[in-house]
Amino acid sequence: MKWTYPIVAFVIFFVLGFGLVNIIKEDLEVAPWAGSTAEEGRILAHTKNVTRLVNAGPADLHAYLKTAIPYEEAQTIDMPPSKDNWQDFFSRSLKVNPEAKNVVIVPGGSEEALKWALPALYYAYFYGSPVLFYSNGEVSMDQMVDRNLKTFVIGSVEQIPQEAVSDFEEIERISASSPQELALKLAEYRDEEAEFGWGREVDRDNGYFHYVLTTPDDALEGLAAIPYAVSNNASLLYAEEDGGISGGLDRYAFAQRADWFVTPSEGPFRHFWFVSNRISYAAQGRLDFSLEKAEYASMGPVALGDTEALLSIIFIWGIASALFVWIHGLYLLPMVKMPIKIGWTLASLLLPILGPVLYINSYRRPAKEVEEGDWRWIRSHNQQSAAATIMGFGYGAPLMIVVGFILVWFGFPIFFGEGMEGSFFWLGAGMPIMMIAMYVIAVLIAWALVQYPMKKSMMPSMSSKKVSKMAFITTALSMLAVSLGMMSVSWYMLMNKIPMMPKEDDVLWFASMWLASFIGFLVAWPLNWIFIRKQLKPGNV
Amino acid sequence: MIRYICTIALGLILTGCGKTEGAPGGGSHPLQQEALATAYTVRLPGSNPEEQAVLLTQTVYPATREDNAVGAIILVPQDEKIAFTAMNRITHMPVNAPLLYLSEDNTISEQTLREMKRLRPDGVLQDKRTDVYAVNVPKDQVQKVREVLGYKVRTFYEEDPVKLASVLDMWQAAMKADHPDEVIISAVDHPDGIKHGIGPMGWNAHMGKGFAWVYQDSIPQATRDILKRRYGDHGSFMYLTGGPDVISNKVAQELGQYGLVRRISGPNIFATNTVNAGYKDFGRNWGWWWDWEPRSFGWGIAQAGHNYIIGNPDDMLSMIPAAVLGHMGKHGPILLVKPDSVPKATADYLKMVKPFKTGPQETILNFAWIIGDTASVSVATQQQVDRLLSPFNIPKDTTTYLSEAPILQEKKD
Repeated sequence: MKWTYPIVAFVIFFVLGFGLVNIIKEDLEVAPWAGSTAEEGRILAHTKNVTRLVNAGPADLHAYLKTAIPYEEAQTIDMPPSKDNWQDFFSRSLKVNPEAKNVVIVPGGSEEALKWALPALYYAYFYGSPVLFYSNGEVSMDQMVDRNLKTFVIGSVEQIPQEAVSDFEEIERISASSPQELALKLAEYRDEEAEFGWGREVDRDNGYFHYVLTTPDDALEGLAAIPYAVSNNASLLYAEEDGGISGGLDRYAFAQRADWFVTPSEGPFRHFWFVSNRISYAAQGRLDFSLEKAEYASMGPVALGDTEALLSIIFIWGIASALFVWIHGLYLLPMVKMPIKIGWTLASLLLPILGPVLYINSYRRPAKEVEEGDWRWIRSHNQQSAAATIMGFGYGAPLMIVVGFILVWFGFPIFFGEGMEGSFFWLGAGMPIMMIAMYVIAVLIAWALVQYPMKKSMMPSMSSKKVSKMAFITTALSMLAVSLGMMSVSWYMLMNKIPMMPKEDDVLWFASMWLASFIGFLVAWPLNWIFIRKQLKPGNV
Repeated sequence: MIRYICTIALGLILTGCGKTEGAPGGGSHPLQQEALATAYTVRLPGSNPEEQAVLLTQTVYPATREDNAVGAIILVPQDEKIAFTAMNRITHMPVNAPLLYLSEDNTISEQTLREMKRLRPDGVLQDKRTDVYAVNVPKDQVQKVREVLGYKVRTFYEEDPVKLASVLDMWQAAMKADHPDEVIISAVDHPDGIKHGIGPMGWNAHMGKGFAWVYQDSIPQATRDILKRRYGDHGSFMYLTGGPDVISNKVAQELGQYGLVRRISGPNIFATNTVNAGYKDFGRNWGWWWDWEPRSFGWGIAQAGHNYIIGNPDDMLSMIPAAVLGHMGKHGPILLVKPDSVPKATADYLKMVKPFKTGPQETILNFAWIIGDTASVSVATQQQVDRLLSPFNIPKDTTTYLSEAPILQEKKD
């Protein structure tokens, strides 16, 4: 076996593997630069999707918001909230909706109870739900509350026992293992009939959702910021006490990322209001990023859009197909030469399902050993064409992707200026340069390291010059056909279909190349039919 | 063995992921007290163009990871026409670049240099991973960027903004393999040329279309060259910023030889920018047997649920970099106000797009960024804008809303 085949295969697997691992690495990264320079030199704390209300405590924040949000509908009472009066503060600030269809019972009394009650208090303040507090073993009395309305009990039976609420007609209990999880639950919960809960799930694509973020220990600041529940329809969410955010909040925030179809100026947009000073800059950067609008086709790193998921499946199937062909060939087809096996494996990587189907179809037929160790399979003309295409495509197409990836990684060279203007200005543009480079470099490598030695081993009696010429012509023509399909589809995907051209760390770049390769193969197949007929390529190895 | 390798690899990946816990983010920030927030507005209180530009980059780019850092940085002197030209053509994707200024003495200040370091550009893949676009920046300052920060710098040297527009047009075409057929055209020699053009420039920062200058009464050769490069079915689609008092009808007629001419204009600079916010031009551009590409120019915002960038027309150097807020985040057009009032044209427009009360799942809200400190746009004006953006009724007398409470964090400090 020539050393060149595994070397070419190694380079292909190394570069593509590196690219795919790089995507996974960057998607897993949370805020890797937060500890280095990202916060250095900042002169204000706001970012585009997060406003920080840096404050000296709940009284300070309350005083500020009295003037910053002066709307009567949102106003709280003049007395600032404290750990002793928070229940009174809320009750006197609440404007009860006379047509409310629900009642809310929350834990009351202690400062600890506020942590659990606050997320529900936000919704009650927004909607005007009557709110009752459970403390000292009983639910606060309010003769005005209609006990026939559906009642939402917030907290576990340890916090509000069942017998304490037994005289309410219909009860729905909502509890969680922590205030953070409870806040997330209420942000997503919705009872349409009783008109309770924000109902802000991943599929609510049109709402301009705002969120007030604090920590459980800074729940009083959250209460002081409750005017946002009315002015901005803001739900309350909790960060962790260490200033970070939980996996649950991270998941929820990315689910709230809005997409755009025509331009990013279309709605909706979403926003966080931080009212706890202890939330870290890393958390702020993460949440700011999670809410950044993204185009429908590419939801950007971390988040996964529909199109990205669909196209990702293509290359996941490709990897599975390549593994199948490689393992199958290695263990069950010892008579197939190693370069051929590598060719089929590489081709199957880019031809999910189709690759293994063609492979099985090619080798389930009768075979004959023409010379010692040299086997030929009896195949139809079409099947021979497919096998011949695979030998060129298997090495050529992944090589083109490798060259493309390297160019994208280091950046396209461009050429412009007065001398470059006119009808051919595009020859100085990055994308055409990448396409030309992909073709030329891949042809040269495939010709010198794969096709020439392969043909030479099959036709040892032919002169090297003649084999070399024949290998070059067939490689150049075959890959030209592959390129026709591949380049047009990659141009369509990268320059047309996806509004923002994906970069090398975007799953859509790889997925587009996979899709383009698939089409490239379909275009090259008929051309190889001619090669077989003219006996320029073997199709039965 | 494989198990150990996998464990080490997984460990390396996970340790590289970073985390979100950390020191309190509400620490001391010198301008946080002035960065006043209301329900629907947030102020970015720069007291000079250089500082304003830094505030904008800090707002738009947290830079905690590659994806929320910049693609590149535009660096220009404090020259309105040069900055305006650069912002028109460089900011948009695939470059993804905010604009920073040199100091008045044409050097890079320590604050700006630190901010450039913080921004950690990814490099523009369509342009050899360039990190900084330096337009008319002295060579020693370019060298400073290369040496101190190790960034790749592409320089453009062209003192004439008209010719600079042409150079940038050629460069953009090389990156995109295309000349966008829609071209915004502003008057370079009219005192209010940039003020009329600031809103449409915001569209360019948002969508990356073409830009050219004209004189009030003539078309420079560089602009003719730009327009000749367009290959739409009808050549270019040109959008003149301002009425005949800014760009004469003679020029408009003469431009007709290069394609379709439209005006985005109102009776004054405030009205021109509100017209721009609501402006939409769509229709044919070019087509062939199989495919077609329509033109689609302008924000076309006439309903609630959008973001605005609001500032003072007398401070164009601060407003120009603010267009980056239309490029990332909530996006949205630029509107102008007076320091102590919201002009009628702007107020009327905001009343048109006023939202209304909705349910918890289909909420509609507006938002606005106030550009500049309180000398540039007063607190009262910010609050008046807030009322106009809100879903609540606007009281006739808004003076009662003037802040009487101490500003946030004052007690803390």
